Amino acid sequence: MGRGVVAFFEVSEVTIRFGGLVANSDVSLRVEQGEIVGLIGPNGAGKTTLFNAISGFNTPVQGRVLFEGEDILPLLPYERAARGIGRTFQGVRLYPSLSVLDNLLVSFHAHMSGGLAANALRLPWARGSERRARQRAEEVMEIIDLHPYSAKAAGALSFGTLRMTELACLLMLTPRMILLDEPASGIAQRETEALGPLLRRISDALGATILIIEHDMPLVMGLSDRIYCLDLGRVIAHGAPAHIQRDPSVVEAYLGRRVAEQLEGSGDA
Amino acid sequence: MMAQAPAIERLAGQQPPAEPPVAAKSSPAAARAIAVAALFAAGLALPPLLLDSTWNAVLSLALIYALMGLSVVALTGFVGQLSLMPATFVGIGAYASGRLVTSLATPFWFAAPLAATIAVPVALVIGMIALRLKGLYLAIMTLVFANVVEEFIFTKPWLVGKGRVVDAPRPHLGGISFASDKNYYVLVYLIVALFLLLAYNVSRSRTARACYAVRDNEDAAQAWGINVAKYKLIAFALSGFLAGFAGALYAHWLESVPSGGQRPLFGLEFSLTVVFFTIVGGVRSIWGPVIGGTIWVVLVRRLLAGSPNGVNIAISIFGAVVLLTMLYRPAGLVAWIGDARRKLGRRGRWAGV
Repeated sequence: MGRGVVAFFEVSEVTIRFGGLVANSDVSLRVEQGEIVGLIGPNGAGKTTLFNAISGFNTPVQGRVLFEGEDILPLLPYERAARGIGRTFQGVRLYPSLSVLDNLLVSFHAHMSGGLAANALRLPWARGSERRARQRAEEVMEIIDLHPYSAKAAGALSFGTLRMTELACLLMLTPRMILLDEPASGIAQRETEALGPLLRRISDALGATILIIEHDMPLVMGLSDRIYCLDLGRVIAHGAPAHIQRDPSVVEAYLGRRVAEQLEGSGDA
Repeated sequence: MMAQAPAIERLAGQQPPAEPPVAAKSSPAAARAIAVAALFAAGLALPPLLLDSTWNAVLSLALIYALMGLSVVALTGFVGQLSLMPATFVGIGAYASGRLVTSLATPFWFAAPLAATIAVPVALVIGMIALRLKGLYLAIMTLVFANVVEEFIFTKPWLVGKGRVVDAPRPHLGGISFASDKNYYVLVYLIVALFLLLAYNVSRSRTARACYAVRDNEDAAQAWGINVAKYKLIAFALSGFLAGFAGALYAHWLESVPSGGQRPLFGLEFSLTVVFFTIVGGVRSIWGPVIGGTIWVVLVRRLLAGSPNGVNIAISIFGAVVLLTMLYRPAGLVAWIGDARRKLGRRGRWAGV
């Protein structure tokens, strides 16, 4: 990191508006290299909107997104991915008609060489690049246990397997910064419990930093080093998981003021 | 389901994994290579040896149509964009090649690739518009654009000459003349086979995978590092080039290319024909247009050749078949071949047990 002032990843005073609706207002957050940071908040808090701004699918009216000290807002989504920011979507977005293997290979696209002509003529560097990509895909499928599904179309997979394929795609892309949008939604409880350690391993192995949106509290509390809580487009709290869990404004955001007051009252009694 | 991840740490960093030991050529691969070579040789030699010139002319037209269909595969099959103007690019290639040969004395060997290259910038203009329009709107826009080109360019004397007919003589190479239908078949066969080989290589590569990703899910492709606009434009350029080259081959097959008239040669009817037979054959496979194009040409030029309404009958039949294909087997006829091969393979394995 060199200079301690520059964060590895920083969202600085970002405001996003859709017409009159303010989806994110003056949101700032910092993530240091190697950290796993949770992003929580009730539905409609603006979490996914913020992810979309970071990965380039919408444009903030104000603010900056800094990756390794550089403002990435002028970059197109694919340029941000190639720069090392990978993301997953709520409900998994892969390529349904492609096989699991091809899905993995597509994720390795930015690391491969060989354009139209080189591929048409099967020039040596294009073939070498293809061979290395396939070998890496084999290794990743070994690790995530996807070999039985290698030739299956992604559209024909169960949701749990699709999630695993998506994680495998992350291992192909090898981003330095990973944005996970509700990775536990739609998969079985047993699998959710195993997801935390797996994400931790992926982070450690790739040296990747993770920003994770998650509604499964045991998962996000256990996994995250720090947590930011968003409500109505603003950061209302941030800190260690234990601190966040006790924060009255967080409890209020999730349960409403009256319930929060009642809980507080019963706790005092 | 969930992995205990023993080797995940190996993936850290970007160092390429160790090279695999070079496996000796397995016998199935060798057998396959021999089969492909035999098929290629049979296709090259048998029609000129066994069939009359009419059949050779019909089969060369089928291959030219297959190349037109390949341009639809490059666009609709690869990146999922539907254009209803393939015939326009065929027309550009046809007039350009004819004029280059007759008016500028360019040898066919340069005129054909040059004519195909001329179609590329036009295709790129459509491609840039396609970056803003989707699906049906794009299809309608191409329809309008095709009409404009037909009315205002394909009728102009600077392009089609004062006689409104562009001559396109068949080429020769040194002492070899490709004037006869049998010899022209050999030439068309070699060129189309080369394009199919290149297209086959591309279809299994990084470039095509990026296109398929764009077709399946643009947002995901963006998020996973694929320049969606670039690959759409590549597909449009490729499609224009292939259609243009097919146009050049078509022009010299016809030997003279008429212009305008009541029923424009490179109008909507031709475009729909190309799109139709490609869908029937299989729009996501490079073999689809070969199958579809052959069926179409044989149907129209041989089976219904005597009928005054042959083309209309064939278009009606094909319209119904396209509907059925889209409803029941979007992958097209080529998918049945895949099924048959898989079935045979399974039986083979059964016998082996």
